[in-house]
Amino acid sequence: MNPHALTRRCLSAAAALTLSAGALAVAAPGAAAQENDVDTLMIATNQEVDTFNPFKRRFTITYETSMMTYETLVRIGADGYEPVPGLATEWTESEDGLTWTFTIREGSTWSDGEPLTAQDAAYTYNLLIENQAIHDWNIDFAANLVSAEAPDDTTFVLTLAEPAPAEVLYREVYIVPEHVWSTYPDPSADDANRLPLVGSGPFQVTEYETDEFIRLEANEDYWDGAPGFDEVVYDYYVETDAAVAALEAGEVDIVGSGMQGGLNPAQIGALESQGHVTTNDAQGRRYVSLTLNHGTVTQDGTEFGDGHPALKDPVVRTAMHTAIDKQALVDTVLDGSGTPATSLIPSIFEQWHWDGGGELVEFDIDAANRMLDDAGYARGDDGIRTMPGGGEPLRFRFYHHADNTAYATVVEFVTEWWAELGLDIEAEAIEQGTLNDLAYLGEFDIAFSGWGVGPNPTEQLGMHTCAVLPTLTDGSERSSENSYCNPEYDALHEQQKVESDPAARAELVKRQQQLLYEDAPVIWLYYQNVLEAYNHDTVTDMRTQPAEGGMITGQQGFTWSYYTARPSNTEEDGGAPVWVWVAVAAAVVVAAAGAIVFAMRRKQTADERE
Amino acid sequence: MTSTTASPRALHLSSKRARRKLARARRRRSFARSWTAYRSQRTGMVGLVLLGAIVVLAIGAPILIDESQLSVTQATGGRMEPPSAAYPLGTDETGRSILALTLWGSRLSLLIGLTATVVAILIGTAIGVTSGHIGGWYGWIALRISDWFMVLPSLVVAIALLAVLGRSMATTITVIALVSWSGTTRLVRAQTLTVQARPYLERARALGAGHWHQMTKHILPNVLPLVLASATLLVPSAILMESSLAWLGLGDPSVVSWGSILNRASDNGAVSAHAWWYLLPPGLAILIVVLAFMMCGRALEAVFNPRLRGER
Repeated sequence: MNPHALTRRCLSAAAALTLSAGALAVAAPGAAAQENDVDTLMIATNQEVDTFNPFKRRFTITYETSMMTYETLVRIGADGYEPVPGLATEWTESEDGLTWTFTIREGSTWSDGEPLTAQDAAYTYNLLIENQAIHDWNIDFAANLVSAEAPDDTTFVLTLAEPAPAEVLYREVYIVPEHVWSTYPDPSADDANRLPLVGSGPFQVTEYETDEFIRLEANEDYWDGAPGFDEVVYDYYVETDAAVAALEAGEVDIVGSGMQGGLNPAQIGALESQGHVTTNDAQGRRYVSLTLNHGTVTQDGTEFGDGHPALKDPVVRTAMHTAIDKQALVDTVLDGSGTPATSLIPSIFEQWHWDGGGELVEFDIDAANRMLDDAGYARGDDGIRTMPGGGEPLRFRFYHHADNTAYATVVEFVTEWWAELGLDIEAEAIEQGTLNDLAYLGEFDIAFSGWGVGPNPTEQLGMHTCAVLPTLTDGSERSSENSYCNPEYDALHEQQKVESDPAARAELVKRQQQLLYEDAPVIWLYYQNVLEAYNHDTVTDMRTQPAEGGMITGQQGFTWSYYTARPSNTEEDGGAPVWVWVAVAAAVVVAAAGAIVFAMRRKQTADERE
Repeated sequence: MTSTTASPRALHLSSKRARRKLARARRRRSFARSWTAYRSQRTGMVGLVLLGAIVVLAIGAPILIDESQLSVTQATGGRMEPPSAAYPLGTDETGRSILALTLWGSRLSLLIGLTATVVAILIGTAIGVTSGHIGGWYGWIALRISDWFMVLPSLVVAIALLAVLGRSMATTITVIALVSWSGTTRLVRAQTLTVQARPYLERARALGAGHWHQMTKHILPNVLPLVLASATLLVPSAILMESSLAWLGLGDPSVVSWGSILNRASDNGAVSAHAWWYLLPPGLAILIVVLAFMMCGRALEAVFNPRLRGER
């Protein structure tokens, strides 16, 4: 091949490419214009979907889609997690607390147009009572239900075996349409409800592609008014950095707790400098804690596991607690986006949170050293303390989650502080699954833990009662957080469960937290803030939960933010008018055609020349 | 050295000593010859100087920078501060100097890279020499096993092994050695077969030399130069492997290596924050070390491999 032929081919190829690019340039604005007719709220996520079945789902992403697709009788308020009317306009509790009567909202309909009645509520609660699989999945609540009836279209009556006011109001039971669900062969199956889902909430899931997107379409006939956006789309991003870049580029509207692990302070810092992005550093519902193996036992008192004997001594645990500067952890690891923790319930739940009064442990390494000296844990020649009377050195295994960088940094801090106490800490990063296995087998000394707490504190408090201690030693029963068992605590727990007066209940709950704090089976480190950001050029008016300094993503009981969100009114000034695109495309096409003609002519003359 | 009134035993001893002296002189000469050949290669010399500087820095790190600078509780800098007079390469998210981390990281990265290579080379040479020399069904099986390790995708195997064995320095070294010994085996086996065919080995066999004698006295010395060159080329891949694994979050998070610094940087949002001072130093350090080892290795290869020398 001669060099001219090569040049010619290259030229033709380039021209063909340019031509097709020109065609695309004409097509692109048209497609964009079509999309602009639909207002879409884009939320970044990386969480897989377990199941859309609202009775079985366990993941956060499907919690949010269930909240939007279906509805509960009682919503959880946006102001301060208070119960507010949802599908039920009002409710009454009988004197003995066993019978609850709900008035179902008139005029509400399912997304397929069928009317929603008290029959649907009765059908849903009866699934919990009668469908064995659904019953078992929700055993902690369902076991207490006796009957669910609908005497007429607007009255729903729920009967309980024991009073449980908080559970009835806060337990999120998503009312499903009887006329659809009664046709399902097995309502407890993972794929029982096929897409598009029929629900009564503000948005319904219509489409889902694994690792690509989840699409929810607005319910225009929603009883509380049509939502501001036509659809909500969860867009999948593998890396949080990629989601941040997408928000910067305007491809996604909200990045927050939809990304597992959330945004970190550096990413928030980067987003703050963007003119179109609003960042939100909201108080969170999550605590991070250190579980100390103070001796794992079963219901009948059989000890198992291989925890260090020194950790059974409350003095050692308190000394370790005293040697942790929680404020420093918040300042450095979280860059101030959090609060030092006291006990189980994060401070976002003001009514339940125990602030410690004036009795909190103060960071003081000298005092901690004195405690251990006085208790007889003498230092050996290598500076490591041993059990009183010599013997086993205080060498603790410290397990943290391998995929969590923040935990690794916390470990570095805590290890350095504890080294000053003469404790020998062997830190090890372990996969989450393995770490949980070891923790429930009692084969650890210190391990990380962390939970998101809901508006009803019973579930979290219940993980520290004697009733949930395992019966077997094989680590398969995982209801007890750390083998804590204290009759005084249990008595308080039973009282708070049936207490209808919120103020009286709060006193009991706080007393429980104080007991946990003093016994220190677990050291609570900090309450982590939710870091999130959104594009205020495209979305506005999102209601936070709680009202003061609250969060947009990760709301509880009702997705106030996505429901109230509406497109910003700011003018779209980014796109050029259509005629510019057409002119550009035309110019490109002409130029490319010219190049082809030129190349052809060259070819002809070349042939002649040859 | 030998006295005139020597007994036969002393004579015997002295002749042994003379033989050793001769051997030493021969080795010295051959070393000098190789050194001259090596010195004539500019890239090799540059690599050697670079490597020397890096090793001096790594060994001297504790003198240059106090270990307390790695302490998170005693860190004085701000959060991800850009480079300044106090922190020439800026700080990380806990306020530690990136310069200190990078210098200290060199120790672990080099240690893991070198140890893993030594282990891999030991395994590779042992299997290579024995399979080449002994041959038969043993040689066949050894060869198939090394083939099998060669076709396994090393990073995937390393990740799987680390997931099973847990994360620590020892397991990282083991895993890297395990996935990288097979190349050496091939090389050593080929060279063993070549040496095997030389007449003096036939003579040694005729004189009654056993397998052990043949392998250690005749084959190994002839194979070692190649092994040295191959080891020098294996170190950079081991360092890269360690860094990749640590960057993927599979290293021991409680130790400082270049890969783990990169891992922390990306996990803490250094990319979004455009904190180039956090990402660049460990990345460049990896680049320079790998480059230095490659330069030395290529030069050594050229020295010891006559065919490559001819090309030059």
